[in-house]
Amino acid sequence: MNDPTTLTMREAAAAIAQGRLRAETLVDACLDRIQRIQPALNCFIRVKADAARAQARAADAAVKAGRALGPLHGVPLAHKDMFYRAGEVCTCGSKIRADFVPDHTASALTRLDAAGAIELGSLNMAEFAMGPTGHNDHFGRCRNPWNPEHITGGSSSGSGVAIAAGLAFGALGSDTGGSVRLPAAACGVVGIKPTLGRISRYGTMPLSHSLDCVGVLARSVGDCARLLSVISGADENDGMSSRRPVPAYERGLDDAASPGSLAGVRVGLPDRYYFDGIDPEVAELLAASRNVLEQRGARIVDVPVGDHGAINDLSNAVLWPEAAGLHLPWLRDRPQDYGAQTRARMLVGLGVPSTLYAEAVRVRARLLDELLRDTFSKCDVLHVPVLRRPVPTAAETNVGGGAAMQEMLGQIVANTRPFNYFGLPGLSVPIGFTRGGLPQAMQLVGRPFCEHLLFRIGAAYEAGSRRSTPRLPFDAA
Amino acid sequence: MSVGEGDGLAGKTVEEVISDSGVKVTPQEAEAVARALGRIKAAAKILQRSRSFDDTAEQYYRTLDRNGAGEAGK
Repeated sequence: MNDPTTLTMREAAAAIAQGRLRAETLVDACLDRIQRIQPALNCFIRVKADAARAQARAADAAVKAGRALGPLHGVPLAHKDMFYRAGEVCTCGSKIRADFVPDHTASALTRLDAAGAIELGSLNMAEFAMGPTGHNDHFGRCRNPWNPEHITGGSSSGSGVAIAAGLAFGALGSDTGGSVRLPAAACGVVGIKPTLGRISRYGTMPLSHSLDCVGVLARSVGDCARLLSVISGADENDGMSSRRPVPAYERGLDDAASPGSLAGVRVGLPDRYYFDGIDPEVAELLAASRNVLEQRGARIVDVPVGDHGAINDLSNAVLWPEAAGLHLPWLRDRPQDYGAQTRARMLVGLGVPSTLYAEAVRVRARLLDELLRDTFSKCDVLHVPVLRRPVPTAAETNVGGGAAMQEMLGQIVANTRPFNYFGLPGLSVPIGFTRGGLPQAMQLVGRPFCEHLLFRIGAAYEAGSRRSTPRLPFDAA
Repeated sequence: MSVGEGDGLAGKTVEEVISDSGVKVTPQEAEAVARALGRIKAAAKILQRSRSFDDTAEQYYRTLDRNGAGEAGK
């Protein structure tokens, strides 16, 4: 077999299960690649090489013994460093928690373990998951594998980079305002923020309990579907996790390649906000992606949306008070241990009136109801950009902690944050590259718990676009 | 002290509110916070239109669960 790191996760899992590929070979290939590329990209905080090799040997022994194998048996993954594993340091990308050792394990990790996955290490992230660019004052900036001068997106920066660079086959991330979809888009991989409550948050670092979602990133829609199948579902350790049954997300994805596979699906184009001031090059790529969906049988329909610009700003009245409340003791006693951007953003939370916070939380049902009634009655999914502009450079976004920072970061999350407020699922799918060589993505947003439909449309796009992905710069050299 | 919905958003006021919580803040930081709060308060106008006395936070989760989608298309 040629370089096994170029396989998709599902291909790798099948090859291991059928005895065509040893897990140890695959893990070694990933570790070799990490050793070679990590210095340039800075996407890992910790690599657990010995533990991963031991897990791989055990996985190979299980195959040889004919034991029952999970859907991720022997597949190397790596995760944002905010998923707790009992007895192991979890930094949350911060100086404050540099030595934090949790006493329990995240349910998402427990489920991945049970499915046979191997963990290569922990990934870089924005400090306390508060930043959409990939900057981190404590662990250094994560770099975009397509051009290191450009941002990776965040806060799950390391997750996007590790997958794009072929260092791991899948990664957990978290998404409170776009933190899975943004790095997926900026790095050219697939990422999904599921419906609020779809995945247990037990054992994950909290940021905003009203908005936090665990999400996944991988190289293909099918790979994301497999990961979501494994980690979704009710959890007695998380009272906020949904008890709705988990659909078989991978079912039907292979049929998505057939012409007409999207017959009857209405793809909604919002009549305002999401395309305001869009870069022409990005608009062109999005139009091309809609053409592919139409060729598969989908119907593109114009749909009305409410004042989502206001929703975007309003979500700050929920996010930052909740974050500031969590961090208040450290904001008082260890302000110097925060990065400037992180601290500045949380200060906003201390100024939001409590009545405004309560109202912003309370009115969410009504605003969601309006969106479902006025918009989703006319379409099955929304099709919007993740970013309205080409992926910016690090220099353009490194704007300290003042008003310019609030403005710049607000632009980056403008198209992702409203859907966190609503709690709706969003899938980021790569749609090509801008002339500067950086990826772009479409964001498909659906009704609550319709992740299966997002996967079906995303898979149909992948099959229909037949676009060839250029080689990464360090592979082409 | 709190920054009420009808209050102005002078940096000085914000500085006092944040200091009351025991967190140190510079005048420059307070000015940036005041600007961010101004945006939030402007956005809050949609609350006037949407809210009802009987809305609850719990209702949101029921709305989310009740509207789970079936399969679209074939």
